[in-house]
Amino acid sequence: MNLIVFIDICSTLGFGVAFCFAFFISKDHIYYQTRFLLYILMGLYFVVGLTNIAEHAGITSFFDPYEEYLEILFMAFFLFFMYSIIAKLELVKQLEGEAALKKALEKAGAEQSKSDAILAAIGDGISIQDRDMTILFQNEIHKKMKGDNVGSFCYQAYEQNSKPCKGCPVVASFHDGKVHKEERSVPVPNGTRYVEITASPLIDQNGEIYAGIEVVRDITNTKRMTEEVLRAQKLESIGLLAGGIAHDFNNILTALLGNISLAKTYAASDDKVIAKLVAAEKASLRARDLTQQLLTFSRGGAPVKKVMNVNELVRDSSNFSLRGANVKCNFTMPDDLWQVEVDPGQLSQVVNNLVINADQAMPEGGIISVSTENILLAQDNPMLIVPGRYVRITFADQGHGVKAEDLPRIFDPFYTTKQDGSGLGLATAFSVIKNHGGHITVEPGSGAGAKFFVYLPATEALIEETPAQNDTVYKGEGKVLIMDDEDAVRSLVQEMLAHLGYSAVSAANGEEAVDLYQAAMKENKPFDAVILDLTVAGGMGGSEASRILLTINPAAKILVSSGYANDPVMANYEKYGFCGIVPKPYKIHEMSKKLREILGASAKLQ
Amino acid sequence: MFEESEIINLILGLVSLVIVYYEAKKRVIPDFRLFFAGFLLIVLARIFTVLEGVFLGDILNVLEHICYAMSAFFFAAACISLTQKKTSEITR
Repeated sequence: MNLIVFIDICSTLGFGVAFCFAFFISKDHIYYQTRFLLYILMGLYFVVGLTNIAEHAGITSFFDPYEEYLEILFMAFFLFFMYSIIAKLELVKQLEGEAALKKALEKAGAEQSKSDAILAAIGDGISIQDRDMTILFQNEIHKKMKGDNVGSFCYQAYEQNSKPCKGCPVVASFHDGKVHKEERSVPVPNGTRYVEITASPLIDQNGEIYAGIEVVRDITNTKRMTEEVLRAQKLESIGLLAGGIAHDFNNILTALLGNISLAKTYAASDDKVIAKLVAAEKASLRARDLTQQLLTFSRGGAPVKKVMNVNELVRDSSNFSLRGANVKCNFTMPDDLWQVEVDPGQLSQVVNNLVINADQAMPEGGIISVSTENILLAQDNPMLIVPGRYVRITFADQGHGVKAEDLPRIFDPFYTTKQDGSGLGLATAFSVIKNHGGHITVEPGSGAGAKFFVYLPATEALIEETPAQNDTVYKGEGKVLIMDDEDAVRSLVQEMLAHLGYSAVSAANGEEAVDLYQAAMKENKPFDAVILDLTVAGGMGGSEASRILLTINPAAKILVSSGYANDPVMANYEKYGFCGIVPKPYKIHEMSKKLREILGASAKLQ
Repeated sequence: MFEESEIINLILGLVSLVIVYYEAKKRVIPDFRLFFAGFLLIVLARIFTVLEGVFLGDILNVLEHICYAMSAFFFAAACISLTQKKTSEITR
């Protein structure tokens, strides 16, 4: 055997081995057709090897001419074989790419749903516009606010403009790449809502602004609350001032009214004098009403409340306010109206103010519809007041309504649209209702008459019976100590008491009153009653003096008197040890009645 | 001297080699090196086949057959190597 034959045998065996092992290659690695090509390739050269052996061993040269064709076939099949492997490789790559893409899409989808959930959870409206102002995205809140306008130009969809709006914050953020904020008022069927628009640019990887995001926040409630706080602060400061003035004014009125009532008793037989005194008294009472209004408006104290059904009070006060007017009231009042706990005087004042306003809004005459109703307010009520059961009193006139520009200040003190108005009517009404835990609102009804709504919290408490009022003057006997820092008031009260049959001693402040009381106790000639002024400038006031007197004599009968009729001490006098109150200014019969109440049967009718 | 069929065979072999080389260069084809080496040796054997008619006939003839044998070795090695691959490696 020569060398060539040996080499050919080796190569033939090699191709044979390759052919056999080709059967065991995993189908996962190469296609069936690839494997088939490999069988052919190895088979071809196995055959070529056999022909070479046959030729070189001198067995036969028959297959020699076909050897060239087999080799050409080998070249062709090898190319097929290679491309088949490449095809498999490409497919694997494609599948891997698809899997990666699917994973990326799933991740992007998850991110998208997360972003959508976040955007939906945000209570603000969110809209994204591209550089052409085409809306790319709106979250649900924004769609509720402005409708679904994705794909439209924002200025057309939101503002019905033909070009981007002037001062648009999104455009501004496109220009300078900064965040821009703007407040806008949006007219809605029930009035106006306020929104805050925040625009910020969206920047791509190259640092280019490709879109703008607009966040629209409804700030109506916040704005209203801010206005309420400002109004409350304004009321508080003006109230303090008004309360101080009213207090001093009440002291003057006490002297004035008291002296008039005394003068009336002295001039009992002179009709002309009495007529003049009655006129002066009426003028003083009007001044007292005005002072009372100032005090009510001020935050000086809590209302003196009682449980009642307001139907009668509202009806009476409305009719009273319209005496002699060419305006009538139409009442709609259910019998089963819930009870409320109110200060009747203050509520009457609110009704008066609202009815007089309505009357003045209709100089040609007309009808004021007054209605009361039970109403349940939910948590999300537009007035932002505590939810629950309320009694709503509605005053609807047929005037020209309230102008939009007057609306924000309508409840401000001293704000008036009338030439002769004081600007205290609605401010007082607002203050009174607030002090009752209620709310007052207005529906401007421009051109169709204004509607004022008063909400008062309903109560389950029972109605208390009140004794009838009368002007009877009661005379009496006994020793009374009076304390007041006003000379005029002291001398008036002394004279009043003397006229009523009492012996009166006066003190200018709490310390002096305590000294006098102690001295009287030591002399075994104690006072039967004490009348203390609540507020004393620069000295001991009524509360402190009362506390000391009660330690000296726990059975002391003490009345408290003050120009601050709404002071908490006046409202809850028993808590402070007083037997009763005498609000300033007072008339002689009021004083006599109070003394009779605390001193009992010793007083006698005049 | 030169035989026409051998020249055509050589030209086809070289063209195929260029194609195979170009494709193998373009991308990484796993486990293809051994097949490529086998193919390269077959083309080399063709060259020796053509050249043996011009000079060093006996030596180049032996070299031709050695190239075939080595080619067979590489092809066999490539097939054996593929059978040893685990599925996890293959599908990677």
